[in-house]
Amino acid sequence: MSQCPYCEGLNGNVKKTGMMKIVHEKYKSTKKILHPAISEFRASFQNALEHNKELELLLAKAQEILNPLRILTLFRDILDEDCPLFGMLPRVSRPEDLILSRIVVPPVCIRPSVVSDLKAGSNEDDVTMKLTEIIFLNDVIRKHRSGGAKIQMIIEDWDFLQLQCALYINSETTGIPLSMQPKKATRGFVQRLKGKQGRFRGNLSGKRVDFSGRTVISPDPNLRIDQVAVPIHVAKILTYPEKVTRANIHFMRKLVENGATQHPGANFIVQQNTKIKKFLKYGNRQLIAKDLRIGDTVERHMIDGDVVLFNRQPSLHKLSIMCHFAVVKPHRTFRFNECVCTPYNADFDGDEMNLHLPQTEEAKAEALTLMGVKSNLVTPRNGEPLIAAIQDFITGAYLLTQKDVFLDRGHMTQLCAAMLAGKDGDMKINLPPPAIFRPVKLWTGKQVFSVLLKSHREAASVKMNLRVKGKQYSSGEDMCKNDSFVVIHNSELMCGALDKAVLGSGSKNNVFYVLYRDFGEQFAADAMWKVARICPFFLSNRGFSIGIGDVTPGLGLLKAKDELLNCGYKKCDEFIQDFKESRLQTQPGCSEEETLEAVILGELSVIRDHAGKACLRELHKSNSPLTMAVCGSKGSFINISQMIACVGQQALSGKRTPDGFESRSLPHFRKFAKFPGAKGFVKNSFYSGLTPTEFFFHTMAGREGLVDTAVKTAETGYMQRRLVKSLEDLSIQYDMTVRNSVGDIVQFVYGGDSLDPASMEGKDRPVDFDRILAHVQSFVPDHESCVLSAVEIKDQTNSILNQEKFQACSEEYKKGLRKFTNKLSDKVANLHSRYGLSFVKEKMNTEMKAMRLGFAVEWVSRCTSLQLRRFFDICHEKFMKAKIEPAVDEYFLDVFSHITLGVPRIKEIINASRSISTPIISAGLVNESDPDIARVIKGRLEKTTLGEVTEYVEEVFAPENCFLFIKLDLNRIRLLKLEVNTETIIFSICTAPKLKVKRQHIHSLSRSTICIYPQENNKSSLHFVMQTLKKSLPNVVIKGMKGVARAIIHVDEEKSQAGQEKYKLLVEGNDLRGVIATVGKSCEAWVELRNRSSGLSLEC
Amino acid sequence: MAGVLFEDIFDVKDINPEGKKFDRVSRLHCESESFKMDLILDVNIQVYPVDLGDKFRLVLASTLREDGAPDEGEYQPMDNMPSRADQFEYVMYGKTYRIDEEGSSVEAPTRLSAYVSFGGLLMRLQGDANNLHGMEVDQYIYLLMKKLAF
Repeated sequence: MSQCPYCEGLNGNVKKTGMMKIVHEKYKSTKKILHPAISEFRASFQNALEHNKELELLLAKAQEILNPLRILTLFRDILDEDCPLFGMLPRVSRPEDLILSRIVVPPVCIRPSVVSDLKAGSNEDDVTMKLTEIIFLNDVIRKHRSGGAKIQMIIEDWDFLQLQCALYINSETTGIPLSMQPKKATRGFVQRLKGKQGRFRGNLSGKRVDFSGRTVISPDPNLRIDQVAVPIHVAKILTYPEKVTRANIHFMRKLVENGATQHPGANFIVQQNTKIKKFLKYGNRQLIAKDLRIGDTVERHMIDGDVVLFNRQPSLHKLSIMCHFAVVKPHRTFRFNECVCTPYNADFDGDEMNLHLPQTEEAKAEALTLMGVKSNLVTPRNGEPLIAAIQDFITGAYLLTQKDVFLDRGHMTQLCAAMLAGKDGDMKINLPPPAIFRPVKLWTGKQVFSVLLKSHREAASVKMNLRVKGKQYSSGEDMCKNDSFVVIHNSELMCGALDKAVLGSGSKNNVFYVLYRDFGEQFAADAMWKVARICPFFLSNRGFSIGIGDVTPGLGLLKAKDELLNCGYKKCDEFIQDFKESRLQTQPGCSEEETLEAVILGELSVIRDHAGKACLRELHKSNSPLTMAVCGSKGSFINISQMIACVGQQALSGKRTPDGFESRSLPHFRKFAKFPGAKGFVKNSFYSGLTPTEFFFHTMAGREGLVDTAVKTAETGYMQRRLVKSLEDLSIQYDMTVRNSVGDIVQFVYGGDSLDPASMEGKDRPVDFDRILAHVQSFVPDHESCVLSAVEIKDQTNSILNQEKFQACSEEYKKGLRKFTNKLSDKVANLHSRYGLSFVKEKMNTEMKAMRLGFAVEWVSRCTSLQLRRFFDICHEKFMKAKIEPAVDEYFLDVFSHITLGVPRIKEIINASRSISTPIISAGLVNESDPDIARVIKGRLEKTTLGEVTEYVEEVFAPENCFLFIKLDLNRIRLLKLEVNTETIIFSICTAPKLKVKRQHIHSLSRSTICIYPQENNKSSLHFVMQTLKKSLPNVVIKGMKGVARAIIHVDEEKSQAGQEKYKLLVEGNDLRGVIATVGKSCEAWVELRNRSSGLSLEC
Repeated sequence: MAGVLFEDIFDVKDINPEGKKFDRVSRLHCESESFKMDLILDVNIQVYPVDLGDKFRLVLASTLREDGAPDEGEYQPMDNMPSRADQFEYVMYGKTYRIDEEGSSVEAPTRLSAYVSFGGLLMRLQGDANNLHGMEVDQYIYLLMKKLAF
């Protein structure tokens, strides 16, 4: 209870009681001597008490009610100089401004009145209705006051008026008593503004649009990747207002003649001078067409080549809406090349997508350059290709480029002809000479791919180079036994079968990516389209299907699986037996049950893995699922083994199926059954069929997966919205700083290096030097020139890097370049000395030069002057391209949507949670190499209870007294290296909360025994005290910190050297201060917490 | 003979030492008689079966024309001119795409490897640098083979 410094009035607690009632507990007092103000207040009831004795009981409860009027006067009395304490500037606003003394009435356009057709009068808006009600209530109160109604009536009216005013602003006010609930839900002002459908998000940030369409999507590999097929129905409705010019007037006349119903037609025309819009469905179109003048506007149908925007929800990143060229086609779906499924995250199981037709030339141009499919082949996140071959294209390319695919002339030409379509329909293709001339002329599949890469109009200038390991790569580079080392030399596929690593998205060693970076988007897009034409064509001729035969296990596999299962089950049974007999060796930091779970889980995953391996051994290489898994187009080896051999353990939140019934997962099993089958292990395959219990376990895991996805989408969606809202206004200014819309600096240099993440070719570098050099070496053969010597390479590097144009490159980049060429020159020096090539340029005459050219050695790490210059040119160009431009909005958009693993942790970071769910402290040790010391420290940190170190606790009843006898397990204490003895334990017991044991009642008989004499008290008997004590004693913490459930000794791999292991402690818990204090201060100086990072584990 | 880059007689020492991975293609490991070259060669065994211990003559040439004039580089399907290929049983066409110092060691520091791809069927010819004289990267070559009778 405090007093006002100005008027010395009492100031008590202010409480909210019920709906819109605030009580100031001003007259509450527990003191014997009442404050004069209170006694005065009570005395004021003297008169009333005399008439009503019942009042006396309630007097102590009487308090002041703070009604709006009262609060308004209070607020008015607040002095100006106190206002800053509320964060208010008195000249701008004062506290009393928070109380509305009159209500806002919007103009009628906000609350339109609708004249009713059915009944007389009009329908009024919710807001108007509420306003009439409020006016009516005011009248009622006035009438009651003048008519001298009961005070209760007036108070009631007043409360009701208050409520109506609140509902007027927010119709979802909570805490309304049932009697006053409004009968009809209305829309207050808050409801009009709030939420997705509200004014801000529904009408201002986003609006309904015209010239858009939505329908089901389906695939069409014959379309180029930047095209979308639009149904004629849609094309006839979406129109574009085209200005009639001298160039297009004939075409426009024809469109007008066709009218609204025939496809390349027009729906309206707008004459330039009269501005009259004419509908072209009816009327004399011939006449209108004749009257068409230059400058008129024809709202023509969408035609081939129109620029449209294509979108699929959820629009999580900027690639969710891209710009395509329309192709008007029959039937009713939007169709596009499957390569573009990835950015939209679309499939064809019934997905629908939206289409918009920009209405001006500027909009079209802008959409095409910024949002075009070809301009968005790579993701802005890290520059990896997103649009690339998928599924059947990969399978087809893989099968086509196998080493033993041979084609005769007919097949070869047919395959090549498959890429003659669309704008390349009349292209000339050079058929390469057959790879095998005799005994028969045969071409190979790889040659088809070479033709694909080479056949375009600028064939001579586009020569791509690539050396990359495939998915099946074993060893020996080019000579890899699985033919999985891909080499493309000057656009010819030399070796290696193409698979997901080379054609698929998400890898910077992708064929299309290299084309995109070295020769531009058009070539990459064209190549992708040709792959989309040829691969399905080859695949459908060759045949590729999947049947029951593909997943039927052979006898050998069945036998192997039975053996595996028997062996694994037996081991599990042994573990369970050990567990039952308490013989199971516990794992560090785990209880016996946890250990059992861990070892069984390990054993079962071994079964599945081995079954999978046996599966792969048994399957013929022509097996379709296997082919798909090998080339990476669909499915994994685990999927195959689940179909054929064994589905494996079903996990629910990372554990075996929990007990849904009493002590068992399902009533089909005995209680406490722990064997694999009872806890969710499915030993059958999808082919052999699941038993009812297995099926149930499988559905459980399946459902968990579904729920997880649903929850995560919702959570990430909201998190992303909040994140984006805070970052949406960031942009790079012309001084290269990153600032928000009010000009506050967020970063001085974007990303620290001012490089666009989308242009990173190497790993976090703008250029992959190795690749570019190899590319230049092949691309510019430079047959006539001599190779450079090591010294010359260094000299030329220096002179080139000192050129003016390299001033724009960062020092770090130049350092990287120097380092790279130094390595090159070292290699060349070594090579030349070994092969005995001398380099005295001046002394070499032309004859010698000519002879030298024949040397095969010259071709090893060949680097000529021209090549070196070209290399630096490319490196310079790529760096300049990668430098981010000012005024480019930073695209943070899709950063978070893809992180699903750490959603809970990110949520904690964004919410700035105080208590995090899985905190881990990693504590370093001063003496890192001694495991014993680490164990001692572990003992100090980890929470240890008395129960863990006692052999038994016994009740002893002797004639004279009775006591609890605790026998300590000294051996265990020694093993755990706990620093406890009877004294410290007795101290712990005495100080343990709620035990209420006094020191004088505890005696220690020896080093391992403690006696506690329980004391009877007035609440419970001696026996009862003894029983409760016995029950709670094992839980007494005798060592370590309460918040630390576990501490684990961890071998620090980073610091460990050969033969010398370094240890550190990982502590579960967030009591960082406790850890530092315990370890640092407690004893000798050899311990201290060094790594104070409260590192947070991401997996929760 | 003009246009010939390399010629020798080889013994097939091993076939598919790492296991048979492809139905129609086998990898032969061979050694040459006169120049002591090591050869790894992928052969379409469906059209040209080869057995362990076979002996064959191998010629690498830059052209098939008898006069040694260079090829036009373009494929002429109707070309029925007499060519060098007529005297051989198995002829392939491909490109040298890599010459590397691989295979050199302390004892033989001047060994080189030349990699040629015949539409994906690989050849690696390994031996002393001098024997590979005339091989260039990015050069189209013909491989001609004929088994020798014992």
